[in-house]
Amino acid sequence: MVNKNSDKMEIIEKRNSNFMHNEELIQDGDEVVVYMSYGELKSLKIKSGESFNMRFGHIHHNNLIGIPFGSRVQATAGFVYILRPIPALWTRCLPRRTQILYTPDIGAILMYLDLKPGSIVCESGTGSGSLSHQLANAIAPTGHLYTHDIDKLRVTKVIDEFQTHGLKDVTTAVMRNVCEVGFVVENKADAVFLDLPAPWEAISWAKKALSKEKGGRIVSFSPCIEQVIKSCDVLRKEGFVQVETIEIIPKTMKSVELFNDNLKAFDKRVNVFTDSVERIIPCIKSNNYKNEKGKKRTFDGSVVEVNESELDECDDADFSLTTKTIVSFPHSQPTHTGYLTHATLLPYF
Amino acid sequence: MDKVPEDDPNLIKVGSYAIVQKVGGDHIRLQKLNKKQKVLIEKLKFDGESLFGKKYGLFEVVQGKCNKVNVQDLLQKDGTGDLEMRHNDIDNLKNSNSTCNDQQKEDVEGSDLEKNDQQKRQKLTHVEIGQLREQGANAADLVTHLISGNTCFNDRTIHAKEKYVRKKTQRYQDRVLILKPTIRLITEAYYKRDPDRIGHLRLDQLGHIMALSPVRYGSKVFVFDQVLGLLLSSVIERLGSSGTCVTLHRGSSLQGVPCLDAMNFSEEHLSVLYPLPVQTLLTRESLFEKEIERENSSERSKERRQEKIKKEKYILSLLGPVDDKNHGGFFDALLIATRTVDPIDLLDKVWSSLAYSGTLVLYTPNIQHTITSYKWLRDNGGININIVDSFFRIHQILEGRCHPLMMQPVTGGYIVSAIKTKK
Repeated sequence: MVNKNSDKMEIIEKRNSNFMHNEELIQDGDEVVVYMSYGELKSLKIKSGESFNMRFGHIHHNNLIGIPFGSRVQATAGFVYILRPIPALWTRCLPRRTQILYTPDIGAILMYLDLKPGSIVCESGTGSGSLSHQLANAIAPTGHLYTHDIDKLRVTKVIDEFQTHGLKDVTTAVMRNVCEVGFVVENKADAVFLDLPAPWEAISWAKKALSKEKGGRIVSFSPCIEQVIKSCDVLRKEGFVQVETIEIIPKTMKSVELFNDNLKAFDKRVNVFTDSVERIIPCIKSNNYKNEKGKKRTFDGSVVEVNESELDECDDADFSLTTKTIVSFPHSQPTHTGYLTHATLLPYF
Repeated sequence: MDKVPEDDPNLIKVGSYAIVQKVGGDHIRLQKLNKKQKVLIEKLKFDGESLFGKKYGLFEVVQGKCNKVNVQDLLQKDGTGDLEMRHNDIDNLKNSNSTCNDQQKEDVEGSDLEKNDQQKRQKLTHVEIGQLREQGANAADLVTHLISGNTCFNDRTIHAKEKYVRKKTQRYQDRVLILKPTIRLITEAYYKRDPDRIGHLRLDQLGHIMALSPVRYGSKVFVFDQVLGLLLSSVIERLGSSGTCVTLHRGSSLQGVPCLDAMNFSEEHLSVLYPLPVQTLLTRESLFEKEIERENSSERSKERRQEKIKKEKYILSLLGPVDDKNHGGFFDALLIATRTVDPIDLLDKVWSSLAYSGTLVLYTPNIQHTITSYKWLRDNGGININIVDSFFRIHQILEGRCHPLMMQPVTGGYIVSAIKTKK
């Protein structure tokens, strides 16, 4: 896109924003992440003239062009936020073609592989590309990611996504069965990641891919312990050291404000089913025991008159005592994703 | 061995940092290797000087000195397929005809023998074991002698035999890994030995922080690090000599950051680092400019002062305004790892420096910080606010004996992440 100002001969050229390049304002052709509500994100490619439909109504793409990333945008039936795409958000809204790895495991994998700009990484399989984007992000711009998958569609899809996200130059995606013919590089990689049904069949190939002079790191992700047993045995026989298997079970939480009644307030409170302050309209928080002046509900729902002295006694209770804490949310969360087995290949030659 | 160039980064030199870990050992230590120094790891002691001039890797300790060895050669020599084991065909290791019954029979006759059950089973005494070590016996020889001296070895199951041999091999292990420090290894070393000083930051949580934040080559990051430089070093490594990393520190200069020292970053890598004194952040004025220039200072000293002032003013220009929290600032990411500092005070002062759609990631071992930060972020334009805790386990993986370790460190902290939006 070129902006030409008639008063000045200066030409300012802007590139599309992507994972590797930030512009402040949204442009035609950018990919953005639409944040609709907690847990509800969608990726969207901006095309002039088009509109985006969702449960909060619809938005015209033209209304998004020219505004900053991070803006709040009014839709016809609500509002949404337009965010810059980053690998962590991409993991949450990417089109799924396989089961994917999530950010806590991805974080550990990045650490266990000792990645940095310039690292050469081999990955198999590619899957939906969730981890691939994080790997490419970590090693760019002088490193390279070689990612292998046996499925042609997955390979072509991820190539398109790398192109869109500005990661094309630092990635190579190939259709290849690494358990049979190995990786596309030999004696070159700093790290190898395996997410395969039979990783023990790929470990000797991984050793060949790793640099003999520098050694390297390997990580394998397996959901089943039987896979781990076989993999560990082969790793040790192939001469890897520091072989270790771990698992991570994350728990997400949120902060809430809860009633923290003393006994007097507890005794007088009528609305016993409301546990969270967030569900109470603030203006009636302190008065929810009363239906109207001089009257109150009894246990069976009937309304009786209250004389003056009883009313005074009720006023003595403090109904606004609250406490803030954090609780697990949502109620159901993953208790297993997989085991991560990691090891070190020392230099040899 | 080939002669290696002097500036090889994989060469161990005087003053090099190294990660020390026995093969199969639990302990992992970060150590600076100086002249005339002994290294001690899990009762294995050796001369640090015998490492100089060699490459990082695997070593065998022979009478207090280190010899470089190759994993492939050892596997071939031992024939076990597992570096942590030295004996194969364990079931038939012992040929002796003595049995427990014979031993018990002798016990009845010799009433003055110790009745300690352990001592009955093992004929070798501590003194004898010590003598064998003095004579230069290696771990394999020692374990062979222990097996010969064990009167009940043949009565054990194959699993019990293997467990016994593995345990004794580890106990007397004389092979040691001397590795070049990485952030992964440094984090593990501190977490196991001195977790309070890093706010109980586990390696997987450090990785989670880095995965949540969009830090890459060329990013612009503001870092507050109260965890010995683990987070700061991770950011500097990820930036890879391009981008901007402003870090807050006490006093007038950034010094004594253990992880930064151990990583031994090149000047090129450190060129992205802009230290910001707390006082400068609080006053928004150049700290060095206010210092009175010493009358007799050298020309070189004056030059350095000017450079500091210039750098400090550049940092101040990157910070957002004091009075407008929802200002869209310069930085792509705001990373905070706190132990004792209230994150609210920090957020008050630097949130305006974070760009719209930029990411905040806060690590804290204090659960109260997560509660107060959550509300603060909601009130100040943060969305996608997540609080994450996690459980981490190490598993023993051996044929027929797989289970999580029965005892391991369980501490960790909380991670709060959010994205800044324009109100």
